[in-house]
Amino acid sequence: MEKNQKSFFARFSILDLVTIALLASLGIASKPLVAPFFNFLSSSFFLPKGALQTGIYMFWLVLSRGIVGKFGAGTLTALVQAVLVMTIGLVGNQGIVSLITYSLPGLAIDLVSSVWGKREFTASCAALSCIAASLTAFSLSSFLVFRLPIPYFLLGLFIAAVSGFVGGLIAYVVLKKVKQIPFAQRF
Amino acid sequence: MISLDPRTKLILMATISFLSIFTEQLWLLGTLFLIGFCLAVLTTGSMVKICRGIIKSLPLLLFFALGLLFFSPLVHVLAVICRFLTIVTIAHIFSNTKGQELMQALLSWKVPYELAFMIMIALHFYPFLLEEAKDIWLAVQLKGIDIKRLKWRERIVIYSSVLLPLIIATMNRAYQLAISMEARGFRVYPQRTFRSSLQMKKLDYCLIVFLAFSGLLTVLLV
Repeated sequence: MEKNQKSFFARFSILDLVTIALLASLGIASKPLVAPFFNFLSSSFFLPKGALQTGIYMFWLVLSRGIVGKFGAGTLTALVQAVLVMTIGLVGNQGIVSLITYSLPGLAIDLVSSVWGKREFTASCAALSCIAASLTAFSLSSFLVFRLPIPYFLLGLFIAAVSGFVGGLIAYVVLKKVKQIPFAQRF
Repeated sequence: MISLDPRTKLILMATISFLSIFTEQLWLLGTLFLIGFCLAVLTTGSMVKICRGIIKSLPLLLFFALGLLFFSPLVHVLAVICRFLTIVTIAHIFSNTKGQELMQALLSWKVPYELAFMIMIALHFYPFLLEEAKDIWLAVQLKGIDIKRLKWRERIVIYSSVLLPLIIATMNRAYQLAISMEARGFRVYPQRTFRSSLQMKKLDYCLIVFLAFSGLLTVLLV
C-alpha cells in the first residue's frame, strides 16, 4: 500500500485514469473521421500532411489535460495512444518510434500548461500547450524518420504551429462546452 | 507462422527501428528493410497483409519524397524511403499481439499496473468508440449534409457537433467504469496477480541473442 501511495499514479483517481484511457482511445478512433478533412487541405495546397494533422491530433491531449486537470494527464494520454497505435497497427504506424513521437508532445503539454496555466486552464494556455506539442511532434518525426532539409522543415514547423494553435483553441472551446454540462462537474 | 513473446517483439522492433534511425547508409537500410519484412511475414503469417500496409502508407511517403526531392540529393531521399518502410514494416510484427499478453509483458518489465490497465481499457474500448464515432458521423450524413460541399467554417462546426456527443458519451462511460472498478477493489493492493504468465521460448532467446550480436556488429562496422 505504501509503494502505491508514493507512485506517480497516486495523484490520479481511478476516474482520472479511466477518463484518460478512454479519451486516448477516442482520439485514435476518431482519426479516420478527421483525416479526410486534412487530406483535402494538404492535396489542395501541397502542404505537409503530417504537419497539418499534428495540431488536431494534439487536441485530444490538451482536452484530456483540461478535463483531468492534473500534471501528467497529457503524457499518460499520449503514452496510451502510442501503445494503442502500435498494437492496432494503423496505416503509417511507426511502431516503437511512436512511443517517442507520441509521448514527448504529451510531456510538452503538461510542462507548458503547468507553467502557463497554473491557476486556470485558459484559452492562451490551451493554444500554447497545443502549439508546443505540435512543434515537438513534428520536430521529432522529421528528425527521427524524415530528416527534412531546413527550408522544408521550417515550412512544416510553421504549419504545425498554426495547426497547433487552431487545435488548442478548438480544445478550449470544446472543454468549455463540456464543463457547462452538469454531469461533467464530477470530473 | 512463428509465435513470439511480446517482449521479444518489442526488442525486435526497437533494435531494427533504432538501427534504421541511426544510419544513413543505403545498403544497411535496405538490409534492415529486408530483415524487417521477413520477420513481419513470419510473425503475421501473411505477406498480403504486410504488402497492403506498405501500399497504404505509400501516398504519405511519396508526398514527402516529392517534397524532399526539391531540396535533397536522390540518395538521401532513397534513404528516407527505406527508413520509413523499415519502421512501418517492422511495426506489423506487433499487430497480432493480444491485449492480455501485452499487459503481462509490460508488467514483467515493472511497468506500473495502472498504466498497463489503462492500455488494456483503451484497447478494449477502441472498437466500440470507433463504431460510435462512425454512427454519429453517419447520422450527420443522413441529415443530408454533404461534407465535401461545405465551406471550411461550416465543416469545423459540423466536426465540433460530432465531437461533443462523442466526448460526453465517453465521459459517461468512464464514470460508470470507474465506479465499477472501485467497487471491485481496483488498486486496493499494490500488486495484482494473474491466472497465467508469459514464458519465453528458445526461439525468443535465440532471436534476442542474434539481434544483440548483429546490432553490435553493425554499430562497430558503421
